Amino acid sequence: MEVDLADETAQQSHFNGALSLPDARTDLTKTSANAALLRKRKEAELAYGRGRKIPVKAIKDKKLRGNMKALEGKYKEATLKLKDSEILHENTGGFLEPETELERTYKVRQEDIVADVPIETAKKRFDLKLDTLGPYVCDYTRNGRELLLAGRKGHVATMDWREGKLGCELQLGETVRDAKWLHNNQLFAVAQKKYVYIYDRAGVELHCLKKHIEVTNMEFLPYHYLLATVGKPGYLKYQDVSTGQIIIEIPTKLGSPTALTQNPHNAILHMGHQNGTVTLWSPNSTTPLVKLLAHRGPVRAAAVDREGRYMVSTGQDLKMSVWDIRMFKEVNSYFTRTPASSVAISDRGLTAVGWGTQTSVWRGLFTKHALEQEKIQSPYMGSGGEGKRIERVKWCPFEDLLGISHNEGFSSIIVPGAGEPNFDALEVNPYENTKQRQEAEVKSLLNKLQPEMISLNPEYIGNLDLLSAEQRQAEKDLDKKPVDPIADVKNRGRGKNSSLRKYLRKKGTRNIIDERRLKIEELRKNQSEKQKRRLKETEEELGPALGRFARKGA
Amino acid sequence: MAGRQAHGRAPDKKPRAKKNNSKKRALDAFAIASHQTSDDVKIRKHRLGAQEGGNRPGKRRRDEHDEDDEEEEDINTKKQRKGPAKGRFDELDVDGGSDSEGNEWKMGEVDSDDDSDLDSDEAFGESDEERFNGYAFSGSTKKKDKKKSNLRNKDINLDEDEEEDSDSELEEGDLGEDAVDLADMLDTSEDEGEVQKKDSRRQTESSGSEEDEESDDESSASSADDDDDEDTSDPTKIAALQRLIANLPQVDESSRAPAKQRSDGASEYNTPSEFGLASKNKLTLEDLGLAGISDPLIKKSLKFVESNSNSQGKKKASSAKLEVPLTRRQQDRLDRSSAYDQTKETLDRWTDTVKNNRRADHLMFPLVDHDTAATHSNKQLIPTNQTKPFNELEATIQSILEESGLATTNGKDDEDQIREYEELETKKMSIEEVKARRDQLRMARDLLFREEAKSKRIKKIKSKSYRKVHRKQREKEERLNQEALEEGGYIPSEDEQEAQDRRRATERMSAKHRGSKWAKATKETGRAAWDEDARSGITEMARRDEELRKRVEGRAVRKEFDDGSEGSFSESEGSDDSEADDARALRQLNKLGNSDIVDEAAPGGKLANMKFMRKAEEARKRGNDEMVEDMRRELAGEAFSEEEETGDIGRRIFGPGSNNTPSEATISKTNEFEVPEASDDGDLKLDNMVLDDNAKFGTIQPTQKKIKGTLKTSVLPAQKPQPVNLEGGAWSKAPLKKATGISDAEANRRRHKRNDAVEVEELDLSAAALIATPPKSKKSAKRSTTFDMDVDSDDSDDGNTVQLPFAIRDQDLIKRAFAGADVVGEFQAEKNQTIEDEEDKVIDNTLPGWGSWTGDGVSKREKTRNKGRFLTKVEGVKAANRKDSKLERVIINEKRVKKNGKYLATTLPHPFENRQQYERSLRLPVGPEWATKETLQAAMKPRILLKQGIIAPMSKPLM
Repeated sequence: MEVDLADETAQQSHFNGALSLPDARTDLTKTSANAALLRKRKEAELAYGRGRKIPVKAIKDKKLRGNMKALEGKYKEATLKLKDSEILHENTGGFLEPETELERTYKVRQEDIVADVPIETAKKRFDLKLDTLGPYVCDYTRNGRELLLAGRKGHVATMDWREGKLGCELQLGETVRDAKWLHNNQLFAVAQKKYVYIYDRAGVELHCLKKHIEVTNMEFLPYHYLLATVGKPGYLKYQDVSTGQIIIEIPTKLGSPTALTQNPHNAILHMGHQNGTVTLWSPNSTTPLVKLLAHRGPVRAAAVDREGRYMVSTGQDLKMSVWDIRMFKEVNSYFTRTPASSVAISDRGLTAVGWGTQTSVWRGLFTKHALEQEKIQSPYMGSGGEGKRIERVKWCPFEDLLGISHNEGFSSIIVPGAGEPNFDALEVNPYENTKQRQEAEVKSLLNKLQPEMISLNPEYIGNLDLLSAEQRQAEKDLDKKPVDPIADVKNRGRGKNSSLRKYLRKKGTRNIIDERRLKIEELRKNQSEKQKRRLKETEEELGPALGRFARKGA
Repeated sequence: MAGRQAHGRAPDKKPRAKKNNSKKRALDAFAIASHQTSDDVKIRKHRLGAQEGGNRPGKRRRDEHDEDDEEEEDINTKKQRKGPAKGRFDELDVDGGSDSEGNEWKMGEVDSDDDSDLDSDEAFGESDEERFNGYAFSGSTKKKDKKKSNLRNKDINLDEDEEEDSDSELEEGDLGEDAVDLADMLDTSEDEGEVQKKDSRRQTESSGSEEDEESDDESSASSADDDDDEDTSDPTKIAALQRLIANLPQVDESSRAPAKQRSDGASEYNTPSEFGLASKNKLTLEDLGLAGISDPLIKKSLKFVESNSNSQGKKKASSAKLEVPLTRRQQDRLDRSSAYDQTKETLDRWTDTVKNNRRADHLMFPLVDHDTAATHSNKQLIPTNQTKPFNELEATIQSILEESGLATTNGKDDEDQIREYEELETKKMSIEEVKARRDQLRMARDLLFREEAKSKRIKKIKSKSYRKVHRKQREKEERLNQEALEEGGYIPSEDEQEAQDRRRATERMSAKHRGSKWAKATKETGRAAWDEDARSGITEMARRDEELRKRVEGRAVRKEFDDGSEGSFSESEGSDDSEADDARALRQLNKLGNSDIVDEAAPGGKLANMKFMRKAEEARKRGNDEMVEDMRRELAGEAFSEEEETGDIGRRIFGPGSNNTPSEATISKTNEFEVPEASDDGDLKLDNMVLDDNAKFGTIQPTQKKIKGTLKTSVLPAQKPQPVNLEGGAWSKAPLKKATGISDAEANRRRHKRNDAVEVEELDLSAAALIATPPKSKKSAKRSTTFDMDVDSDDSDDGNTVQLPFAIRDQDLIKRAFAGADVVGEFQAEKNQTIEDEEDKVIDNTLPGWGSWTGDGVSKREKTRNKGRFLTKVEGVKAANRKDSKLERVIINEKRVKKNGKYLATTLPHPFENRQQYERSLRLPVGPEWATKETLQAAMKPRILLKQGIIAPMSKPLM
């Protein structure tokens, strides 16, 4: 699947993304094997450690300290194990490497690559000529097996692109604005002229989501089974596709959206607007969590990297800006000659930008652990320029492929180093069979996350609530049962000193009439009636002669 | 009393004694009283003579220290006293007659014998009859001795009583031979002149008091006496005697057993049952090979050992009277406590195992029993026949191992072999011999063990200062205690002693040192202000600290300990001696001198090595020396005038001038006669210290000046460069001002260069340029330049520079294009609005018309007055506290997402101390997606695994 094309396309030139750091420390520490171990530990910590450790030494409680130490030890071991398990990754990624400084990787053309790669890889480069029902949007399933193509004029098709087998083909005969695969290749949603429809893999219409009106953009959150749509009226709607419930409908109040994308890390939706802002949405709040001004003109497209650290957005103002969406700071902004219509970020951090008739792929727009992000001077690769106006670019998961859908169909181009070379079959399996797919479906349904879990910080679950006790109490009491005002007088004793009598004795004469008082009066009336009835009964029972001896209290 | 009548061997003596007893029991109060008074003295006398080993002070202490002549006198008086008694009572008259007949005197120590007899009889007859009712004193010809020996044996004390032995010897008539032997030995050893002298003196004494005394008896008795005397009287004598005793068996090598017994002072015929516990002489240092030890510490400890053994002897003597058994309840309580201790100890052995199991992450039941695991483990193959090597290879390996001593032949240890051999040997011997040998061995082992334990304990104590501080007090306490106890007739058992030791050890453990809890607590609470104990503790701590510091510095700590011990010795020897006093003073003076020298020689702190300090030190030393000289003179000639002393009372004048010091010395001298020497010492030292301080004060000022001077000089060069900088050319000025964030090093470098010449300016320029430009360029890089993405394959563009104008033009265009929509302004306005909305708000709850007039006709003033009457403040997020306060072009919603609250923890779970701990402890997910299989399984493994099988309790602790 992953092809390292470094050798074939070996060209030397100025390497655009590379930082040549003078590594002075290696001279000092390269001696011992211990250093290697330390380095490994550090790397493991960095890659899998998930942030700061617990400061164990500061803990005073002996037992807790011991436990925490043990826990830290476990975590450390776990990270090390994870690091060690990297040895099981059988594939490695690689990029086009220039051989001399004069070479430029962006000058490499698809024909050159195809000529140099193995036949199987070369097959992956293909073009679909669909020039009548034009401009197309495309989507890959999560495992990258199947491709969904939807033309504006109502042509929808799915296909196993590897095999070149058509799954289904629909001529809907109405405007299709967007199409999305749901959790697997069995279902896909199509945003048509008015409603959103869900079809199965054979093209049978399963559902018509009438609540989603005039949808322009759709996103599917695979872990939450949520289909999020936003339409021309500017209502963001979340629908659970496993239960069919509409989770929430949020009016964005920002008009028709221009872009919608999801942050794969925390399932937050990023919506681009006409006024150049990008808003971040979760189904849990009716207002955007964050609003950032990314562009001066309308936002055209946005994409978030897999780890949820950076967002790349393009706007009508001929800008492509890179945002750090954890700090909410703009990292860099780049100039595009034409407003870029689509952006996509691959698993390995390559950013594809479709602008006009061209697509360029950027490498190293953001680097994970760098203190300061470098501004890249030239793109990694480029393609296009054949007069096909690009509608959407999509990276094929687990492949070094970029799918470009345009007004004349679809083309798949090879971009070395784009895809994740090693897949996790527990997560998504590109080679799954039917059984595995079914099992994975069941499993993912069982592991479905609740929409309430969506938050900017997805690791918040289990954290301590910092809300004050009063606030919490106030929130909690909303649906508390009303207190019975006469509960204390109701059922306590029947004799001379019953609580009712006592109350009447003490407070009965007061001239305050409230609810409590009324209820008590009623209660008293009932009781006296009951007593009278009983008295009458006993009188009758005893007969006329002895009836006179019947007593009221007895 | 049937047993008593049964003895038939020496009818001449014993019946008499018996009679005596019976009569005594029948006596009236006076008789008892007289007996107690007179006879008690006698008894003590005798006992002291017999086994005056213990240095344990008690009632009889005075007597112990009596001189020989005193003893003699006592004997005489005793006799005189006895005379009238006899005359008074008829029954006693018979005894007296018999006494006067000389039968008993023939025996040697008649008086003592008699008394001891009476004593033991009483002891036995009165209290212990019931106890020994069932006891069969068979197999001995002499019931009496037997009984005695039994009693002794009961006392655990393995040492034998010389007194009885001598008795028995006397009666045996075996003595002649014995005496000859002893005499020979005495003759042969030259060192025992003293002993001999003593012997002879004894002889003369005895001969003076008793006419018909046989020389043999006498000598033997005296020798016995000497044996007993030895320990306390004179170390040299002790040594001599020990040597003698050590020689004994060698002399009688041929007839081993009897000689040994004789040397022990017992006869085999006398106590056939005792032969196992043969060594009747006390085990001494020499026996243990510790005689040659010169270390004072160990000597001290050995002294303790010695005294211990002596005390044992003494104890035995006193326990000749059997103690009244404890009441049942007390006994039970003791039993219970000991049983508790025992169980506790056994249970404590399990604690580690239990703890370990409790803390274990996983436990698998049935638990692995190590024994069975060892036997049944299938991880290694066990040879079918372990005794023989299986094949040739094994045989060779075995042989190699045997050769190298790693393995034993036939699977037996060397010890096993030895044991086997011994068993064989014992089979050849007679039963008695075997028994004797075994007992001997046991005895030796026991003693060795005790010695070992003691020496171990003693060895552990290291701190000199600790000893110094506590020794006297402890000794005193101990003495007092023991005296008290002994008065009460109570002898501390070994357990108690051990307990005491333990307590001491714990005290030592919890020694007050600086870092201890105690010290901290006192410091915090300021307890030292009012608590005497705490204060003393703190001073002690400080002292120790000082000492330690000195030691760290390498200065020799005053050898107070050794000297002190000597002092104590001298004290104990002669207490009220003025000569000794003087000597002591002299010694102290010497010590002072020494310490001074040591101080000088030692490498002190830097301060001490400075010149002025040295000067002061010298001055002080001179003064001290003079003082010391004066004191010496005084001590030598006892010539000092009182006027001198009195003349110096008044204000002291401190300073380097040395003429004052002698007066101080005299003052201290006068003190010496009143105050104990230790405090005197302290006084002297204090004076010295004061002097020292003054010297310091005197000299400190100039140094301060010096420091000031140096400071000035050091400050100047630091300031100098700046003017230079300022003076620098116009070129260098501006950039320097701009360059605020330059590193000091760089600045220095530049400064240096500036001082030189013309080149400097060039360098400066470059540097300034370097410094000045980067920020600009950075900014520009960030803001202005945007690069074309044009990667057209058609255009063969060389670089970005060509496209730059195009881009800029584009940007201009864009700006123009979006000029209409002020996006940024709008956004900022929105942000401001949200900030305002989410900030603290004051809500006016005033209702118009409620409490005030409203409607038309109400003046404006009135309206405004009624406006802000009921205000409520709704807390929000302050603008400065907002997450987006420092972010431009970002609005972050500060509202709480309520729905997320469902998955938050409401309270901090118990064991955690803070939020961070808790939240960080959850950071790593444990799922198959995030962890390796190994980790996951380890995390999921249940704590307790039950396997098929019988869960038996653990047979023994595993740890």
